[in-house]
Amino acid sequence: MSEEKTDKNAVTVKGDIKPWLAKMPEINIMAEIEPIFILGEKDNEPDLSHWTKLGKIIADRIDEFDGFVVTHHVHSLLAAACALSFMLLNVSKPVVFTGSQIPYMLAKKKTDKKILKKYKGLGIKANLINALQIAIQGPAEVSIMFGNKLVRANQAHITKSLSLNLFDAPLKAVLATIDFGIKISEHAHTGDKDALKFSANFDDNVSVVDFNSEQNADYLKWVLEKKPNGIIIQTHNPESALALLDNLIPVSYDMPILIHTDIPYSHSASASYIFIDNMTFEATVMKLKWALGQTNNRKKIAVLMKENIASELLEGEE
Amino acid sequence: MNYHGIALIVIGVLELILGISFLTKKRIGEAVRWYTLLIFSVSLWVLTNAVAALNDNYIIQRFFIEMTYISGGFIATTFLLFTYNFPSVKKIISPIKIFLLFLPAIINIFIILLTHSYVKGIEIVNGAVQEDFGFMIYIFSAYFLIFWSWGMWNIIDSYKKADGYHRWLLKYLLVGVIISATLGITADIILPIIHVTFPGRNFLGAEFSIVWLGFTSYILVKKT
Repeated sequence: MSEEKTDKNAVTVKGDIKPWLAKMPEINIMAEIEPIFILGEKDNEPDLSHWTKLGKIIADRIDEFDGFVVTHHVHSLLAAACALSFMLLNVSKPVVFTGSQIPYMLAKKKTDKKILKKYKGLGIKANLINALQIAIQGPAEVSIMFGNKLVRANQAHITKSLSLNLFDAPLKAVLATIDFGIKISEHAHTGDKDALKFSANFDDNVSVVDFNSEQNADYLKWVLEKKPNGIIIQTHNPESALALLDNLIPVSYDMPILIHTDIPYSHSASASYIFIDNMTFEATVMKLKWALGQTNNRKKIAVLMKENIASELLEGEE
Repeated sequence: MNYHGIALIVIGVLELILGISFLTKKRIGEAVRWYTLLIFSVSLWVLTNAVAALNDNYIIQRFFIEMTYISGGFIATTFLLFTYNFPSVKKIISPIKIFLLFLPAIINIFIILLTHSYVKGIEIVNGAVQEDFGFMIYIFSAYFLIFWSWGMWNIIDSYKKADGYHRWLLKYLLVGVIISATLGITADIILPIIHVTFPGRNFLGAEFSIVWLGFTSYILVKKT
């Protein structure tokens, strides 16, 4: 495994998987692996169509394997893992996402070479080995394995781009830590569950408007003209956003509008908007897409958004 | 006041607590199992040294000095088996092979309990314990060094091939093991064989295990 020559490690076509795995003999000792190719590293970013395909493969073959490891581009890994967590409700086997921050062309930059030298790369092999160990005996839920932490996918957030632990989560969503072995947290899902509910219906027509940097009224008007099926407003100040929205949103507008804030208890109740302060932004986006795929009834969507569907609600806020 | 004995009791108990903390957590994997056994073996070694240090009675002191070689045998084997499983399984070792790897340590127990071929006698020279070693000390030293070097080779090999978090783990483990083992082997094997003795020399090796304990704790606490 050479991360100094990352382009030589790239899996671009199905045929690259076997030689890539052959560079890590430990992997083949640990488990019997059946690789499935969906998208190559040099292809475009994966989207909902790829994740739906992935979810369907897992749902169809859930009884054949002890667990599933998904290696994924890091840029959209969090969105993918969130999508799978809503797609595969009551999943009875571990579904572990992992990857590396090092794209195949990154090692050519001088600054990055220092980091590559320090850790001999940011852990493609280590992440994969740990993810595989989790997939064999870890918690039965969709999770992300990076560095020394396994975190619940729909409560995870990105930390620093060039750190071993690219993803973190609140304490109760850290499902396992790695040191001399893998220590599974008591918060991880291990008990009996209902039957798997696979639902790949997502509505991708959701727009996001960022009110954090400035009250971008013009942009919101433009978004409204596009008629998305749902809108998420990101803001640190829900009250001032609310005042602006009341002037901008037509009374006839009947699509769900979510106001997402990271600051809890910073808003008053509103019948027109759904306030979300107990979910990560990524989980909120994916959950709205999922909820829109289940129903187009605005009230039902509001109820679904408040319900703890896939353990996505941050602890203490339920 | 016997400071060596007290220090060893403290170190041994700390190692015992560390081993128990490994046992109480939900864990998976062979590496943790072997590392826990290694911690208990080191703890037993330190505590038997402590009892020897705290006793002036010739028979008890000699008995416990011999007993330290029982835990020594288990340290060598559990360390080797740990290195085959850390940070991931390098090789599947069958139960028969595991038994064969433990066999020298098991035979060692009978040799120690039934004969005095390790320590023929002890005497106090200038306030320091001087052992009159039997032939088994040379066989044990060779066995211990072979197993230890074999384990070290495994760790160095894993380190060379590892990346990311595994490389970080192996680096600290390697530094801790190298420092404590070098000092411990020097104090407990090399110096006695070449008849270098000074007060407290017998117990230095066990005391140096604090270095290894420190690095292990650092790995457990520090999360990169």
